[in-house]
Amino acid sequence: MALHPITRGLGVLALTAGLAGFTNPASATVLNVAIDTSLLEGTQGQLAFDLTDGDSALNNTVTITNFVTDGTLNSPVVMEGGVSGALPSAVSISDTNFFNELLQPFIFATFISFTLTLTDNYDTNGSLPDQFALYMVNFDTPIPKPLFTTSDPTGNGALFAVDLGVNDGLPSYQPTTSPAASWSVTHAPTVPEPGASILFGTGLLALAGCRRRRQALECPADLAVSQPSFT
Amino acid sequence: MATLLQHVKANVSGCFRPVSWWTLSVLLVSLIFIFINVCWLPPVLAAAQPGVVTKQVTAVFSGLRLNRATGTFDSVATLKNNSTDPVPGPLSLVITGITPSSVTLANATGTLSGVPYLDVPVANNILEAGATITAVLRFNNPSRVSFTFNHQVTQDPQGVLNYILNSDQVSQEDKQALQIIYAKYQANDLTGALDLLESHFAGPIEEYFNAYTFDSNGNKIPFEIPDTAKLVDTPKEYYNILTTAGAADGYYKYVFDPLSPPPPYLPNVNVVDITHATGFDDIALVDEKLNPITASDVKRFAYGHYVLENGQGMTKSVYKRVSGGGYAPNILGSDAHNYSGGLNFYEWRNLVISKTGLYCDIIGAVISGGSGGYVFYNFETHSGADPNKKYTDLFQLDDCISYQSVAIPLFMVLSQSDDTRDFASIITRKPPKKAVIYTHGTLLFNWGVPFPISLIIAETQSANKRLLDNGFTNVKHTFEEYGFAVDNFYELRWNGGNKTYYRSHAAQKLKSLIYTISARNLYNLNATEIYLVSQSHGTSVSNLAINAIDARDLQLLYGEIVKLISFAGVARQEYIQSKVKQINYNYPDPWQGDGIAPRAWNDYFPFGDPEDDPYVWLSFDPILRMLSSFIYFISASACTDSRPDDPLYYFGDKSPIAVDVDVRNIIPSYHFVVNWWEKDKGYRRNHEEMIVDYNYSRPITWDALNR
Repeated sequence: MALHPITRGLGVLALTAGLAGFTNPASATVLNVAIDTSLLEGTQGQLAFDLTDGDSALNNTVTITNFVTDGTLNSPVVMEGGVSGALPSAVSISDTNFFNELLQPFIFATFISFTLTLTDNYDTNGSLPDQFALYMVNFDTPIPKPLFTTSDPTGNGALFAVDLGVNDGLPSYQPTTSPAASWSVTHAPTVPEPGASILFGTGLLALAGCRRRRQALECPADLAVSQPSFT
Repeated sequence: MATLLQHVKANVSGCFRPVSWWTLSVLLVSLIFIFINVCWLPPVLAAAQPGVVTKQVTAVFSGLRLNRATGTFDSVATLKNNSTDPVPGPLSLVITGITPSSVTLANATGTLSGVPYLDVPVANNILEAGATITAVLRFNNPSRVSFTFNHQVTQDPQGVLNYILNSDQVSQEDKQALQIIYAKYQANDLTGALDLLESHFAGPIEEYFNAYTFDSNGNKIPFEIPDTAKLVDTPKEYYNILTTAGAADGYYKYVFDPLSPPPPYLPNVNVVDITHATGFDDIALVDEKLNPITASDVKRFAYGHYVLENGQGMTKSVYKRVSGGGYAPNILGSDAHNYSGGLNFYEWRNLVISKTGLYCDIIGAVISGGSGGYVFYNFETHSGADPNKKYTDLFQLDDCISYQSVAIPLFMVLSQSDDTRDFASIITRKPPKKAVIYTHGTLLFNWGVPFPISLIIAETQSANKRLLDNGFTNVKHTFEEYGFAVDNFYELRWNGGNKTYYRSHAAQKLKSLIYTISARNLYNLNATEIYLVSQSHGTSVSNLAINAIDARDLQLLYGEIVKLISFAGVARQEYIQSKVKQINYNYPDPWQGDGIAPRAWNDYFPFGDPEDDPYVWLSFDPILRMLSSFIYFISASACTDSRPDDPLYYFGDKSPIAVDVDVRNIIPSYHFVVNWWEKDKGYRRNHEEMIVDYNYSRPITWDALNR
């Protein structure tokens, strides 16, 4: 008895769909960020999570998860552009606007840690890649200023900056004035994007299911080799 | 997964039905899929775009981040030398096509035709192979909108701002493309390059400025323009348009001549006439429409090293027009290259005085070669916008130091003015070594340093004709007054042995003409033969012809033979030359009757009847220390021989022909022989030759001469 065509077709379709997803790959960079803010303990400032659109395409999202700190998240939180969510819960920043920013008031204690998941898309029709950068800033208006300077070559005081879709390492800067925080940014293992993995896995499971069912009906394990079925 | 693998193993090892191969294929693809999914890396994007000038250097830009101090959005540009050879600096980034235009480059070093560029310093001026340098670009983006731009890496070995603009980066409205436009072209296809530019400008390009080109490897190659290229007339005026022809596809660069670096704001420009036809006229017109010239206009004057080669080539309707003028440094008109008889006409209108020596090479270039023909430089001073304005100092030639005369040096100045109130003045303190000056109209030379002129011709008749031939109007005046002043010469030195002279004669078809040579205050006149010839005549001068040489206060004549000749009249030239042999050293004041010698020619001439008042006046009062061996004072006044039978018919008793030589107060004089030639004052009256020789050993006074 042959495998039911519909069942087999569904499996192939799911697998094909999973493969098709790679023609427009949607990978992500996952960064673990750990910041020692001991020297700033008691300082009131803001965390600025900036995503700047460089390629004029809505194609990237930065997600902040696992936000842990012994400091105090204050208010009011200022969100510009494609920002959704609220710390310490997950926050998503998309490049819906040219400039997208979460400005989180904060009373520093000794540490901050969180995970950044950044999509890696670059539409080369644009001139520049999108960039995510993190700052610690004061409350100046209209543009808060960095609490300390860093080795950021632009002189803008970023702790680090990531060009999305560009395999150029991880530009992380060092503080150049004191008091300042110290930080480390490390890559987490790159994993397939969940959507693609689920679709691919579904296809494999469907095929496996079909095989099991067919073997159960047509080809017992002890006869499978010696008596191939031609019916 | 383990279960899945068990099934795979079972299928592969024991179940050989056809469907198993299908399943195996699917699983193989799946493995590939997994591999890709785990190991896939994003492609390296922001691939460097090739630089325009320095193809070896590419630029990669980081994303933007907010500058919290300035509000700009900043990007880090990384320039890398991808070649195996060092690249000389400095380098610059030209940022073009920023869209939308509300976004600007905030930290631009400057702009060229509105296109910003950013200098990128290179350590030790060398970017080694594989080395990188960075620069930060800061963009003003007050609206915080997404934007795009293009970039080009340029190289400027001269340290002068000469960046490359693409032809599509200069708007059609920008008719002053001040800097460089490059054309990408096929090999040896200048026409294609021109088409590219012209299509952009929606019209033909009339000026082609060229210098060096670079091949695809960045090596400088000789400039080359094929003969098939041609200049066309167009009302449009673009400056510094670069077209190139060379050996390979690619982008090319305009480079200044390192031997003659211009001021930073004035690039060298070469204009090449490439038609080479003979027998036609070239006309290069530098027409300054702005007067006075403002500081903002200075940048327009991109005539540095204005090289016109093979100037014989074009028809009159094909000409190069350079609008602007003034402050032009080093105008080189090397017209004489391969020159063989055509007529070049260069006109610089309303050039204003420059005290910085910017004009020095106007002369130098002109005399750089040539074997004949005519080159006219018309430094016209008349301003259509302000006809009453006189421009007394047309040029100031300072520090002219580079002249290379050849066999037949050519420096011809044709001064043509349609307004007799205008006059040209050439002032120089360091003039060329050798020059020929050809002037028409009223021209004042006022140079106060030794100036070894081999030939100065102040001629009006033929000049008029040429002007008429060239379509000029306003030369048929009913009355023309020409003057040729060489006042205040200091140590005038002619080339030994040359028959150097000033000569002038009147234009034809004029009612009246007055021609004067003013040579006052000459000092150290030193030549083997000196001719001061003022010759006013014409077959159709119907009213008055007056000629005068005013050389008062002449000091230190060292010429072995000095001939100071003044002709006036309406006779044929050959008649004057053959017949006038007499001396009139002191003709009494014929009109005033007071016995007082005239002080200036215009003191005592009346406008008389047609052809009845030719008058000549020579005044050398005083001449100090005449040291010549032979000095001839020739004053001739003649009239037409059209009615030889009855001269009184024309002149009558009260219509004198005046000849005057005023040489009062020659003190002291050491010449051995002075020949006074006088032509009597009436036709066929007392026209026998008289020669009077004097040996002077004492100062001459008026009384001494009034014999």
